[in-house]
Amino acid sequence: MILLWFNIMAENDLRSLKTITGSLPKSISGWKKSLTEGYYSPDNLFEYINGNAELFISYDFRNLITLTYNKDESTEITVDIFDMGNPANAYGVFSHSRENEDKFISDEIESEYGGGLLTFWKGKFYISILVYPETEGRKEIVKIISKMISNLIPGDNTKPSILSLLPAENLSPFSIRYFHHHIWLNSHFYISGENILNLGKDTEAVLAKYYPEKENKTSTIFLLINYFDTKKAEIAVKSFLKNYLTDSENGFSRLSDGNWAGIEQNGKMLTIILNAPDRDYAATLLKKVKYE
Amino acid sequence: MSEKKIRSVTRRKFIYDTSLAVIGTTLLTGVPGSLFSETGKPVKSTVVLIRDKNVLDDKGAPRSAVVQDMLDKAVVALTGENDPVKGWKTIIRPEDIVGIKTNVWKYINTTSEVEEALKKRVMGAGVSEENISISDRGVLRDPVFKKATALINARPMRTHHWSGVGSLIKNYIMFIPNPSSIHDDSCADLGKLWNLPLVKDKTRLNVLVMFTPQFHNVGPHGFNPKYVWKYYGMLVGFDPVAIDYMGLNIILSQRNTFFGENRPLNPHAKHIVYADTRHHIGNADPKKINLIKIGYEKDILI
Repeated sequence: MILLWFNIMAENDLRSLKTITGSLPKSISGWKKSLTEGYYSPDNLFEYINGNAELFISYDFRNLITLTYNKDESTEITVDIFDMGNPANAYGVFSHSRENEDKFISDEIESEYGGGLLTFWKGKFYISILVYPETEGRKEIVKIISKMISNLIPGDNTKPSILSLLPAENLSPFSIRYFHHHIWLNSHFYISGENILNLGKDTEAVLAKYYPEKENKTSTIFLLINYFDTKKAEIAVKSFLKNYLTDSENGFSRLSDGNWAGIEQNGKMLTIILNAPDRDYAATLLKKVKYE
Repeated sequence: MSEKKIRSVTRRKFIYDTSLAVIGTTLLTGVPGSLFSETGKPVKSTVVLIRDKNVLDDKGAPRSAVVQDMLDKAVVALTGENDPVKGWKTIIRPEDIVGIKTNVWKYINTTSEVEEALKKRVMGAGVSEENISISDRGVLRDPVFKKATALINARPMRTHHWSGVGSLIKNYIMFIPNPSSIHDDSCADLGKLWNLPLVKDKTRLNVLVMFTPQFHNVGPHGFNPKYVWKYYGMLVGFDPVAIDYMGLNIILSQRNTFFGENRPLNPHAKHIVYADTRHHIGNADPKKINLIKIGYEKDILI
Protein backbone atom coordinates (compact mmCIF):
# COMPACT_ATOMS: atom_id res chain seq x y z
CA MET A 1 0.00 0.00 0.00
CA ILE A 2 2.83 2.41 0.93
CA LEU A 3 4.69 1.52 -2.28
CA LEU A 4 1.55 2.18 -4.29
CA TRP A 5 1.15 5.57 -2.62
CA PHE A 6 4.76 6.47 -3.46
CA ASN A 7 4.23 5.42 -7.08
CA ILE A 8 1.12 7.59 -7.37
CA MET A 9 3.00 10.54 -5.84
CA ALA A 10 5.93 10.04 -8.22
CA GLU A 11 3.57 9.96 -11.20
CA ASN A 12 1.89 13.14 -10.01
CA ASP A 13 5.30 14.80 -9.59
CA LEU A 14 6.32 13.83 -13.12
CA ARG A 15 2.99 15.02 -14.48
CA SER A 16 3.48 18.47 -12.95
CA LEU A 17 6.97 18.60 -14.43
CA LYS A 18 5.64 17.63 -17.86
CA THR A 19 3.08 20.42 -17.58
CA ILE A 20 5.92 22.92 -17.29
CA THR A 21 7.97 21.59 -20.20
CA GLY A 22 4.86 21.01 -22.31
CA SER A 23 3.96 24.67 -21.94
CA LEU A 24 7.23 25.89 -23.37
CA PRO A 25 6.84 27.12 -26.97
CA LYS A 26 7.91 24.95 -29.89
CA SER A 27 10.01 27.72 -31.33
CA ILE A 28 11.72 30.82 -29.93
CA SER A 29 13.33 33.24 -32.39
CA GLY A 30 14.23 30.43 -34.74
CA TRP A 31 15.34 28.01 -32.01
CA LYS A 32 13.34 24.79 -32.34
CA LYS A 33 12.28 22.79 -29.33
CA SER A 34 13.28 19.12 -29.40
CA LEU A 35 10.49 16.73 -30.33
CA THR A 36 11.37 14.38 -27.51
CA GLU A 37 12.20 14.92 -23.87
CA GLY A 38 14.45 12.89 -21.59
CA TYR A 39 12.95 11.58 -18.34
CA TYR A 40 15.15 10.49 -15.47
CA SER A 41 14.48 9.21 -11.97
CA PRO A 42 16.91 8.43 -9.12
CA ASP A 43 17.36 4.96 -10.62
CA ASN A 44 18.83 6.14 -13.91
CA LEU A 45 19.97 9.72 -13.38
CA PHE A 46 23.60 8.60 -13.63
CA GLU A 47 22.95 7.72 -17.28
CA TYR A 48 22.46 11.40 -17.98
CA ILE A 49 24.91 13.05 -15.60
CA ASN A 50 27.28 10.31 -14.56
CA GLY A 51 29.46 11.53 -11.74
CA ASN A 52 27.05 14.27 -10.74
CA ALA A 53 23.99 12.15 -10.01
CA GLU A 54 25.04 11.49 -6.43
CA LEU A 55 24.79 15.18 -5.60
CA PHE A 56 21.15 15.35 -6.66
CA ILE A 57 20.19 12.03 -5.11
CA SER A 58 21.63 13.14 -1.76
CA TYR A 59 19.15 16.03 -1.89
CA ASP A 60 16.18 13.68 -2.40
CA PHE A 61 15.93 14.19 -6.15
CA ARG A 62 12.65 12.93 -7.64
CA ASN A 63 12.49 13.53 -11.41
CA LEU A 64 14.35 15.29 -14.20
CA ILE A 65 13.05 16.36 -17.57
CA THR A 66 15.61 17.47 -20.10
CA LEU A 67 14.99 19.03 -23.50
CA THR A 68 16.87 21.10 -26.03
CA TYR A 69 16.37 24.05 -28.32
CA ASN A 70 18.36 23.83 -31.55
CA LYS A 71 19.14 26.40 -34.18
CA ASP A 72 21.56 24.40 -36.28
CA GLU A 73 23.22 21.02 -36.08
CA SER A 74 26.10 22.14 -33.92
CA THR A 75 24.45 24.51 -31.46
CA GLU A 76 21.90 23.66 -28.86
CA ILE A 77 20.50 25.02 -25.65
CA THR A 78 20.10 22.32 -23.02
CA VAL A 79 17.30 22.81 -20.51
CA ASP A 80 17.25 20.60 -17.41
CA ILE A 81 14.49 20.87 -14.83
CA PHE A 82 15.00 18.88 -11.63
CA ASP A 83 12.14 18.17 -9.24
CA MET A 84 13.88 18.11 -5.85
CA GLY A 85 10.79 17.22 -3.81
CA ASN A 86 10.68 20.44 -1.78
CA PRO A 87 12.01 24.02 -1.91
CA ALA A 88 14.67 23.39 0.75
CA ASN A 89 16.39 20.78 -1.37
CA ALA A 90 16.07 22.84 -4.55
CA TYR A 91 17.79 25.67 -2.70
CA GLY A 92 20.35 23.19 -1.32
CA VAL A 93 21.45 22.01 -4.75
CA PHE A 94 21.64 25.60 -5.99
CA SER A 95 23.65 26.65 -2.94
CA HIS A 96 26.06 23.75 -3.32
CA SER A 97 28.19 25.28 -6.03
CA ARG A 98 27.11 28.86 -6.73
CA GLU A 99 29.82 31.45 -6.32
CA ASN A 100 27.62 34.43 -6.88
CA GLU A 101 24.00 35.41 -7.27
CA ASP A 102 22.54 37.74 -9.86
CA LYS A 103 19.22 39.12 -11.02
CA PHE A 104 19.51 37.54 -14.45
CA ILE A 105 15.84 36.48 -14.50
CA SER A 106 14.21 38.88 -12.06
CA ASP A 107 14.71 40.50 -8.66
CA GLU A 108 12.80 37.66 -7.00
CA ILE A 109 14.73 34.72 -8.45
CA GLU A 110 18.15 33.69 -7.12
CA SER A 111 20.24 32.72 -10.10
CA GLU A 112 23.82 32.52 -11.31
CA TYR A 113 24.74 33.15 -14.92
CA GLY A 114 28.19 32.94 -16.43
CA GLY A 115 29.70 31.95 -19.74
CA GLY A 116 26.52 30.40 -21.11
CA LEU A 117 25.35 28.49 -18.03
CA LEU A 118 22.36 29.65 -16.01
CA THR A 119 21.34 27.92 -12.81
CA PHE A 120 18.44 28.96 -10.59
CA TRP A 121 15.78 27.56 -8.32
CA LYS A 122 12.11 28.22 -7.83
CA GLY A 123 9.74 26.32 -5.57
CA LYS A 124 10.81 22.69 -5.51
CA PHE A 125 12.61 22.92 -8.86
CA TYR A 126 16.28 23.43 -9.67
CA ILE A 127 16.86 24.52 -13.26
CA SER A 128 19.96 24.54 -15.45
CA ILE A 129 20.10 26.09 -18.92
CA LEU A 130 23.34 25.74 -20.86
CA VAL A 131 24.39 27.12 -24.22
CA TYR A 132 27.93 26.79 -25.50
CA PRO A 133 29.65 28.62 -26.96
CA GLU A 134 27.96 31.69 -25.63
CA THR A 135 27.01 34.72 -27.72
CA GLU A 136 24.95 37.78 -26.77
CA GLY A 137 22.09 36.50 -28.94
CA ARG A 138 22.11 33.08 -27.31
CA LYS A 139 22.29 34.66 -23.87
CA GLU A 140 19.03 36.51 -24.66
CA ILE A 141 17.34 33.24 -25.63
CA VAL A 142 18.48 31.70 -22.35
CA LYS A 143 16.92 34.65 -20.55
CA ILE A 144 13.62 34.26 -22.42
CA ILE A 145 13.41 30.54 -21.66
CA SER A 146 14.31 31.04 -18.01
CA LYS A 147 11.61 33.69 -17.57
CA MET A 148 9.06 31.38 -19.15
CA ILE A 149 9.99 28.50 -16.86
CA SER A 150 10.01 30.74 -13.84
CA ASN A 151 6.52 32.01 -14.67
CA LEU A 152 5.25 28.47 -15.18
CA ILE A 153 6.31 27.42 -11.67
CA PRO A 154 3.72 28.52 -9.11
CA GLY A 155 4.52 29.96 -5.69
CA ASP A 156 7.57 31.72 -4.37
CA ASN A 157 11.02 30.85 -3.07
CA THR A 158 10.94 29.92 0.59
CA LYS A 159 14.39 29.15 1.93
CA PRO A 160 15.01 26.63 4.72
CA SER A 161 14.13 28.25 8.05
CA ILE A 162 17.48 27.23 9.58
CA LEU A 163 19.13 29.95 7.47
CA SER A 164 17.42 32.61 9.57
CA LEU A 165 19.59 31.60 12.54
CA LEU A 166 22.81 32.66 10.82
CA PRO A 167 24.32 35.79 12.40
CA ALA A 168 24.26 38.59 9.82
CA GLU A 169 27.45 40.47 10.72
CA ASN A 170 30.48 39.64 8.54
CA LEU A 171 28.57 36.89 6.74
CA SER A 172 29.68 36.22 3.17
CA PRO A 173 26.20 35.80 1.59
CA PHE A 174 27.17 33.59 -1.32
CA SER A 175 29.06 31.21 0.94
CA ILE A 176 25.90 29.72 2.46
CA ARG A 177 25.59 25.97 1.75
CA TYR A 178 22.60 23.89 2.81
CA PHE A 179 22.92 20.08 2.84
CA HIS A 180 22.16 16.77 4.52
CA HIS A 181 24.98 14.41 3.51
CA HIS A 182 28.32 14.52 5.35
CA ILE A 183 30.31 14.31 2.13
CA TRP A 184 29.11 17.81 1.22
CA LEU A 185 30.34 19.10 4.56
CA ASN A 186 33.75 17.69 3.71
CA SER A 187 33.65 19.18 0.25
CA HIS A 188 33.11 22.66 1.68
CA PHE A 189 35.33 22.24 4.73
CA TYR A 190 37.12 18.98 5.29
CA ILE A 191 36.63 17.60 8.79
CA SER A 192 36.97 13.84 8.62
CA GLY A 193 36.67 10.94 6.23
CA GLU A 194 34.19 9.46 8.69
CA ASN A 195 30.73 10.83 9.42
CA ILE A 196 31.68 11.92 12.95
CA LEU A 197 28.76 14.38 13.20
CA ASN A 198 26.18 11.72 12.22
CA LEU A 199 24.77 13.79 9.37
CA GLY A 200 22.17 12.19 7.14
CA LYS A 201 18.81 12.57 5.45
CA ASP A 202 17.14 13.14 8.83
CA THR A 203 19.33 16.12 9.66
CA GLU A 204 19.75 19.47 7.99
CA ALA A 205 22.92 21.51 8.05
CA VAL A 206 23.94 24.95 6.93
CA LEU A 207 27.53 26.07 6.51
CA ALA A 208 28.62 29.67 5.94
CA LYS A 209 31.80 31.70 5.87
CA TYR A 210 32.49 34.75 7.99
CA TYR A 211 35.24 37.27 7.43
CA PRO A 212 35.97 38.95 10.76
CA GLU A 213 38.21 41.55 9.08
CA LYS A 214 37.52 42.81 5.58
CA GLU A 215 41.16 42.75 4.55
CA ASN A 216 41.58 39.25 5.95
CA LYS A 217 41.07 36.60 3.28
CA THR A 218 40.87 33.78 5.79
CA SER A 219 37.31 32.83 6.56
CA THR A 220 35.84 31.48 9.74
CA ILE A 221 33.51 28.56 9.17
CA PHE A 222 30.11 28.51 10.81
CA LEU A 223 28.28 25.18 10.86
CA LEU A 224 24.76 24.83 12.22
CA ILE A 225 23.03 21.46 12.36
CA ASN A 226 19.44 20.62 13.27
CA TYR A 227 19.10 17.03 14.47
CA PHE A 228 15.38 17.42 15.20
CA ASP A 229 16.10 15.41 18.35
CA THR A 230 18.02 16.52 21.45
CA LYS A 231 19.39 13.05 22.15
CA LYS A 232 20.86 12.79 18.65
CA ALA A 233 22.46 16.21 19.06
CA GLU A 234 24.05 15.09 22.34
CA ILE A 235 25.49 12.00 20.68
CA ALA A 236 26.95 14.15 17.91
CA VAL A 237 28.59 16.49 20.43
CA LYS A 238 30.25 13.55 22.18
CA SER A 239 31.47 12.13 18.88
CA PHE A 240 32.89 15.47 17.76
CA LEU A 241 34.69 16.01 21.05
CA LYS A 242 36.04 12.48 21.01
CA ASN A 243 37.20 12.47 17.39
CA TYR A 244 38.01 16.05 16.56
CA LEU A 245 38.27 18.44 19.53
CA THR A 246 40.14 15.89 21.57
CA ASP A 247 41.96 18.39 23.75
CA SER A 248 39.22 20.97 24.14
CA GLU A 249 38.55 23.13 27.16
CA ASN A 250 34.89 24.05 27.63
CA GLY A 251 34.21 23.20 23.99
CA PHE A 252 37.10 25.19 22.48
CA SER A 253 40.36 23.97 21.04
CA ARG A 254 43.29 25.40 19.08
CA LEU A 255 44.26 23.22 16.11
CA SER A 256 47.73 22.59 14.73
CA ASP A 257 47.32 25.28 12.05
CA GLY A 258 46.88 27.87 14.82
CA ASN A 259 43.15 28.40 14.22
CA TRP A 260 40.43 27.86 16.81
CA ALA A 261 37.37 25.65 16.86
CA GLY A 262 34.39 25.67 19.19
CA ILE A 263 31.14 23.79 19.71
CA GLU A 264 27.85 24.51 21.45
CA GLN A 265 24.64 22.53 21.74
CA ASN A 266 21.23 24.08 22.24
CA GLY A 267 18.59 21.36 22.47
CA LYS A 268 18.27 19.72 19.08
CA MET A 269 20.60 22.26 17.48
CA LEU A 270 24.37 22.09 17.28
CA THR A 271 26.67 24.95 16.31
CA ILE A 272 30.33 24.51 15.44
CA ILE A 273 32.86 27.23 14.69
CA LEU A 274 35.97 26.27 12.71
CA ASN A 275 38.98 28.12 11.42
CA ALA A 276 38.46 31.08 13.79
CA PRO A 277 41.47 33.40 14.21
CA ASP A 278 41.16 33.33 18.02
CA ARG A 279 39.06 31.89 20.79
CA ASP A 280 37.21 35.14 21.44
CA TYR A 281 35.90 35.35 17.90
CA ALA A 282 34.75 31.72 18.00
CA ALA A 283 32.95 32.38 21.28
CA THR A 284 31.41 35.62 20.02
CA LEU A 285 30.07 33.93 16.91
CA LEU A 286 28.56 31.13 18.97
CA LYS A 287 26.77 33.64 21.20
CA LYS A 288 25.23 35.41 18.22
CA VAL A 289 23.02 32.50 17.27
CA LYS A 290 19.41 33.35 18.18
CA TYR A 291 17.95 29.91 18.78
CA GLU A 292 14.18 29.68 18.53
CA MET B 1 36.00 1.88 13.89
CA SER B 2 38.60 2.71 16.51
CA GLU B 3 39.16 6.24 17.68
CA LYS B 4 42.72 6.11 16.46
CA LYS B 5 41.64 5.17 12.94
CA ILE B 6 38.98 7.85 12.75
CA ARG B 7 41.37 10.51 13.94
CA SER B 8 43.96 9.50 11.39
CA VAL B 9 41.90 10.99 8.57
CA THR B 10 40.69 14.16 10.20
CA ARG B 11 41.47 17.70 9.12
CA ARG B 12 44.53 17.76 11.37
CA LYS B 13 46.26 15.20 9.18
CA PHE B 14 44.90 16.84 6.07
CA ILE B 15 46.48 20.17 7.05
CA TYR B 16 49.84 18.40 7.43
CA ASP B 17 49.55 16.69 4.03
CA THR B 18 48.55 19.93 2.32
CA SER B 19 51.57 21.70 3.81
CA LEU B 20 53.83 19.10 2.25
CA ALA B 21 52.19 19.63 -1.13
CA VAL B 22 52.79 23.38 -0.96
CA ILE B 23 56.42 22.91 0.04
CA GLY B 24 56.85 20.62 -2.93
CA THR B 25 56.10 23.20 -5.61
CA THR B 26 59.80 23.97 -5.97
CA LEU B 27 61.06 21.26 -8.23
CA LEU B 28 64.29 19.89 -9.54
CA THR B 29 65.46 20.00 -13.14
CA GLY B 30 64.39 16.92 -15.05
CA VAL B 31 66.52 14.06 -16.26
CA PRO B 32 65.55 12.40 -19.58
CA GLY B 33 64.82 8.70 -19.55
CA SER B 34 63.13 5.86 -21.39
CA LEU B 35 60.01 3.87 -20.71
CA PHE B 36 61.78 0.57 -21.03
CA SER B 37 63.97 1.48 -18.08
CA GLU B 38 60.97 2.59 -15.99
CA THR B 39 58.79 -0.44 -15.24
CA GLY B 40 56.63 -0.33 -12.12
CA LYS B 41 56.71 2.64 -9.79
CA PRO B 42 59.79 4.67 -10.70
CA VAL B 43 62.21 5.99 -8.10
CA LYS B 44 61.96 9.36 -9.75
CA SER B 45 59.46 10.46 -12.40
CA THR B 46 60.09 12.90 -15.20
CA VAL B 47 57.24 15.15 -16.31
CA VAL B 48 57.46 17.52 -19.28
CA LEU B 49 55.32 20.64 -19.22
CA ILE B 50 55.25 22.20 -22.66
CA ARG B 51 53.31 25.38 -23.50
CA ASP B 52 52.85 27.27 -26.77
CA LYS B 53 50.63 30.33 -27.01
CA ASN B 54 50.01 29.59 -30.69
CA VAL B 55 48.39 26.24 -30.01
CA LEU B 56 44.91 27.79 -30.06
CA ASP B 57 43.48 29.68 -33.02
CA ASP B 58 41.23 32.74 -32.82
CA LYS B 59 38.22 30.55 -32.09
CA GLY B 60 40.01 28.58 -29.41
CA ALA B 61 40.49 25.46 -31.54
CA PRO B 62 43.86 23.65 -31.47
CA ARG B 63 46.19 24.05 -34.44
CA SER B 64 47.32 20.61 -35.63
CA ALA B 65 50.85 21.62 -36.56
CA VAL B 66 51.50 23.30 -33.22
CA VAL B 67 50.05 20.34 -31.31
CA GLN B 68 52.35 17.98 -33.22
CA ASP B 69 55.33 20.22 -32.52
CA MET B 70 54.54 20.37 -28.80
CA LEU B 71 54.16 16.61 -28.56
CA ASP B 72 57.40 16.05 -30.47
CA LYS B 73 59.39 18.41 -28.27
CA ALA B 74 57.97 16.79 -25.17
CA VAL B 75 58.93 13.29 -26.32
CA VAL B 76 62.43 14.45 -27.26
CA ALA B 77 62.88 15.95 -23.80
CA LEU B 78 61.39 12.91 -22.13
CA THR B 79 63.44 10.27 -23.95
CA GLY B 80 66.69 12.18 -24.42
CA GLU B 81 66.70 11.32 -28.14
CA ASN B 82 67.51 14.09 -30.62
CA ASP B 83 64.57 13.33 -32.89
CA PRO B 84 60.89 12.61 -32.07
CA VAL B 85 60.70 9.53 -34.28
CA LYS B 86 63.74 8.07 -32.56
CA GLY B 87 62.18 9.01 -29.24
CA TRP B 88 58.95 7.19 -30.11
CA LYS B 89 60.93 4.10 -31.04
CA THR B 90 62.05 3.87 -27.43
CA ILE B 91 58.38 3.96 -26.42
CA ILE B 92 56.60 1.80 -29.00
CA ARG B 93 57.78 -1.33 -30.83
CA PRO B 94 56.67 -2.06 -34.44
CA GLU B 95 54.95 -5.27 -33.34
CA ASP B 96 52.88 -3.53 -30.68
CA ILE B 97 49.09 -3.39 -30.82
CA VAL B 98 48.27 0.08 -29.55
CA GLY B 99 45.15 1.45 -27.90
CA ILE B 100 45.03 5.22 -27.57
CA LYS B 101 42.68 5.87 -24.68
CA THR B 102 41.13 9.23 -25.30
CA ASN B 103 38.37 11.22 -23.62
CA VAL B 104 35.31 12.34 -25.55
CA TRP B 105 33.56 14.54 -23.01
CA LYS B 106 31.37 16.89 -25.00
CA TYR B 107 32.69 20.19 -23.67
CA ILE B 108 36.43 19.65 -23.12
CA ASN B 109 37.89 16.58 -24.79
CA THR B 110 41.29 15.23 -25.72
CA THR B 111 40.83 16.85 -29.17
CA SER B 112 41.24 15.11 -32.51
CA GLU B 113 44.44 17.10 -33.05
CA VAL B 114 46.13 15.39 -30.09
CA GLU B 115 44.71 12.00 -31.09
CA GLU B 116 46.03 12.33 -34.62
CA ALA B 117 49.43 13.60 -33.47
CA LEU B 118 49.79 10.54 -31.27
CA LYS B 119 48.61 8.15 -33.97
CA LYS B 120 51.05 9.64 -36.48
CA ARG B 121 54.02 9.03 -34.20
CA VAL B 122 52.86 5.53 -33.25
CA MET B 123 52.73 4.71 -36.97
CA GLY B 124 56.12 6.40 -37.33
CA ALA B 125 57.47 3.93 -34.81
CA GLY B 126 56.49 1.14 -37.21
CA VAL B 127 53.01 0.10 -36.03
CA SER B 128 50.57 -0.64 -38.84
CA GLU B 129 47.34 1.35 -38.87
CA GLU B 130 45.09 -1.68 -38.32
CA ASN B 131 46.91 -2.31 -35.05
CA ILE B 132 45.99 1.12 -33.67
CA SER B 133 42.65 2.17 -32.22
CA ILE B 134 41.48 5.39 -30.60
CA SER B 135 38.60 4.95 -28.18
CA ASP B 136 37.07 6.11 -24.92
CA ARG B 137 33.76 4.58 -23.88
CA GLY B 138 34.09 1.61 -26.19
CA VAL B 139 37.41 0.20 -24.99
CA LEU B 140 35.89 -2.97 -23.56
CA ARG B 141 34.30 -3.81 -26.92
CA ASP B 142 37.15 -2.65 -29.14
CA PRO B 143 39.10 -5.58 -30.68
CA VAL B 144 42.37 -3.64 -30.75
CA PHE B 145 42.07 -2.64 -27.09
CA LYS B 146 41.15 -6.21 -26.16
CA LYS B 147 44.46 -7.51 -27.49
CA ALA B 148 46.52 -4.36 -26.97
CA THR B 149 50.14 -4.76 -25.93
CA ALA B 150 50.58 -1.03 -25.43
CA LEU B 151 48.34 1.81 -24.28
CA ILE B 152 48.69 5.55 -24.68
CA ASN B 153 46.60 7.57 -22.29
CA ALA B 154 45.52 11.07 -23.31
CA ARG B 155 42.89 13.32 -21.80
CA PRO B 156 42.28 16.89 -20.64
CA MET B 157 42.26 17.86 -16.98
CA ARG B 158 39.17 19.43 -15.49
CA THR B 159 37.51 19.68 -12.15
CA HIS B 160 35.02 16.94 -11.44
CA HIS B 161 32.05 16.83 -9.06
CA TRP B 162 32.84 13.46 -7.59
CA SER B 163 36.58 12.85 -7.92
CA GLY B 164 37.91 16.41 -7.60
CA VAL B 165 39.50 16.33 -11.03
CA GLY B 166 39.18 14.27 -14.16
CA SER B 167 42.71 12.92 -14.35
CA LEU B 168 44.89 10.51 -16.30
CA ILE B 169 44.35 8.01 -13.52
CA LYS B 170 40.58 8.40 -13.83
CA ASN B 171 40.67 8.07 -17.61
CA TYR B 172 40.93 4.28 -17.24
CA ILE B 173 37.53 4.08 -15.55
CA MET B 174 36.09 2.83 -18.85
CA PHE B 175 38.12 -0.35 -18.48
CA ILE B 176 35.52 -1.60 -15.99
CA PRO B 177 31.94 -2.45 -17.05
CA ASN B 178 30.29 -0.44 -14.27
CA PRO B 179 32.23 2.82 -13.80
CA SER B 180 29.95 4.10 -11.02
CA SER B 181 31.03 1.16 -8.85
CA ILE B 182 34.25 3.01 -8.12
CA HIS B 183 32.61 6.25 -6.98
CA ASP B 184 32.92 5.53 -3.23
CA ASP B 185 34.76 8.07 -1.07
CA SER B 186 35.16 10.61 -3.89
CA CYS B 187 36.64 7.94 -6.19
CA ALA B 188 39.52 7.51 -3.76
CA ASP B 189 40.65 4.21 -5.24
CA LEU B 190 40.74 4.96 -8.94
CA GLY B 191 44.37 3.90 -8.83
CA LYS B 192 43.35 0.25 -8.60
CA LEU B 193 42.11 0.46 -12.19
CA TRP B 194 45.74 0.49 -13.25
CA ASN B 195 46.26 -2.95 -11.82
CA LEU B 196 43.51 -4.53 -13.94
CA PRO B 197 44.90 -7.29 -16.21
CA LEU B 198 43.66 -5.42 -19.29
CA VAL B 199 45.76 -2.42 -18.31
CA LYS B 200 48.58 -3.39 -15.97
CA ASP B 201 52.07 -2.52 -17.22
CA LYS B 202 50.81 -1.62 -20.70
CA THR B 203 50.79 2.17 -20.58
CA ARG B 204 53.69 3.59 -22.57
CA LEU B 205 52.91 7.30 -22.52
CA ASN B 206 50.55 9.69 -20.76
CA VAL B 207 49.46 13.04 -22.12
CA LEU B 208 47.48 15.43 -19.96
CA VAL B 209 46.02 18.04 -22.25
CA MET B 210 45.96 21.48 -20.64
CA PHE B 211 45.00 23.69 -23.58
CA THR B 212 41.81 24.92 -21.89
CA PRO B 213 41.43 23.28 -18.47
CA GLN B 214 38.43 23.82 -16.21
CA PHE B 215 39.21 24.82 -12.63
CA HIS B 216 35.78 24.94 -11.00
CA ASN B 217 32.51 23.04 -11.27
CA VAL B 218 29.02 24.45 -11.40
CA GLY B 219 25.83 22.92 -12.72
CA PRO B 220 24.57 19.42 -13.37
CA HIS B 221 26.82 18.77 -16.36
CA GLY B 222 29.95 19.79 -14.50
CA PHE B 223 30.74 22.37 -17.14
CA ASN B 224 30.77 26.11 -16.92
CA PRO B 225 32.71 28.12 -19.53
CA LYS B 226 33.23 30.86 -16.95
CA TYR B 227 35.72 28.62 -15.18
CA VAL B 228 37.65 27.47 -18.26
CA TRP B 229 40.88 29.28 -19.08
CA LYS B 230 43.49 29.19 -21.81
CA TYR B 231 46.63 27.62 -20.44
CA TYR B 232 48.11 26.52 -23.81
CA GLY B 233 49.83 23.54 -22.20
CA MET B 234 50.37 19.82 -22.25
CA LEU B 235 51.93 17.58 -19.59
CA VAL B 236 53.69 14.51 -20.92
CA GLY B 237 55.43 11.64 -19.19
CA PHE B 238 55.52 7.98 -18.27
CA ASP B 239 54.14 8.29 -14.76
CA PRO B 240 50.40 9.17 -14.74
CA VAL B 241 50.42 9.93 -11.03
CA ALA B 242 53.29 12.42 -11.27
CA ILE B 243 51.64 14.13 -14.25
CA ASP B 244 48.27 14.31 -12.51
CA TYR B 245 49.98 15.70 -9.42
CA MET B 246 51.48 18.51 -11.51
CA GLY B 247 48.23 19.15 -13.37
CA LEU B 248 46.35 19.27 -10.09
CA ASN B 249 48.75 21.87 -8.72
CA ILE B 250 48.18 24.03 -11.80
CA ILE B 251 44.40 23.76 -11.29
CA LEU B 252 44.74 24.64 -7.61
CA SER B 253 46.96 27.63 -8.38
CA GLN B 254 44.44 28.91 -10.89
CA ARG B 255 41.64 28.53 -8.35
CA ASN B 256 43.54 30.51 -5.77
CA THR B 257 44.40 33.18 -8.34
CA PHE B 258 40.84 33.47 -9.62
CA PHE B 259 39.07 33.42 -6.28
CA GLY B 260 41.69 35.49 -4.45
CA GLU B 261 41.84 33.08 -1.54
CA ASN B 262 42.87 29.54 -0.80
CA ARG B 263 40.15 27.44 -2.46
CA PRO B 264 40.75 23.70 -2.14
CA LEU B 265 38.95 21.48 -4.60
CA ASN B 266 35.41 20.45 -3.86
CA PRO B 267 35.79 17.52 -3.31
CA HIS B 268 39.51 16.93 -2.86
CA ALA B 269 41.24 14.89 -5.56
CA LYS B 270 42.43 12.33 -3.05
CA HIS B 271 42.67 9.60 -5.68
CA ILE B 272 45.94 11.07 -6.94
CA VAL B 273 47.79 10.72 -3.65
CA TYR B 274 46.19 7.32 -3.03
CA ALA B 275 47.35 6.12 -6.45
CA ASP B 276 50.83 6.53 -5.00
CA THR B 277 50.43 5.52 -1.37
CA ARG B 278 47.78 2.79 -1.70
CA HIS B 279 48.17 1.46 -5.22
CA HIS B 280 51.84 2.19 -5.91
CA ILE B 281 51.45 3.07 -9.57
CA GLY B 282 53.45 6.29 -9.51
CA ASN B 283 54.76 9.24 -7.55
CA ALA B 284 52.60 11.94 -6.01
CA ASP B 285 55.54 13.16 -3.96
CA PRO B 286 57.09 16.35 -5.38
CA LYS B 287 60.51 15.31 -4.13
CA LYS B 288 60.30 12.38 -6.54
CA ILE B 289 59.24 14.35 -9.61
CA ASN B 290 61.54 16.08 -12.08
CA LEU B 291 59.61 18.75 -13.96
CA ILE B 292 60.99 19.94 -17.31
CA LYS B 293 59.41 23.18 -18.47
CA ILE B 294 59.49 24.08 -22.18
CA GLY B 295 58.06 27.10 -23.98
CA TYR B 296 55.67 29.85 -22.96
CA GLU B 297 56.28 30.90 -19.37
CA LYS B 298 53.72 33.60 -18.62
CA ASP B 299 51.13 32.57 -15.99
CA ILE B 300 52.67 29.13 -15.82
CA LEU B 301 51.33 28.71 -12.25
CA ILE B 302 53.89 26.11 -11.22
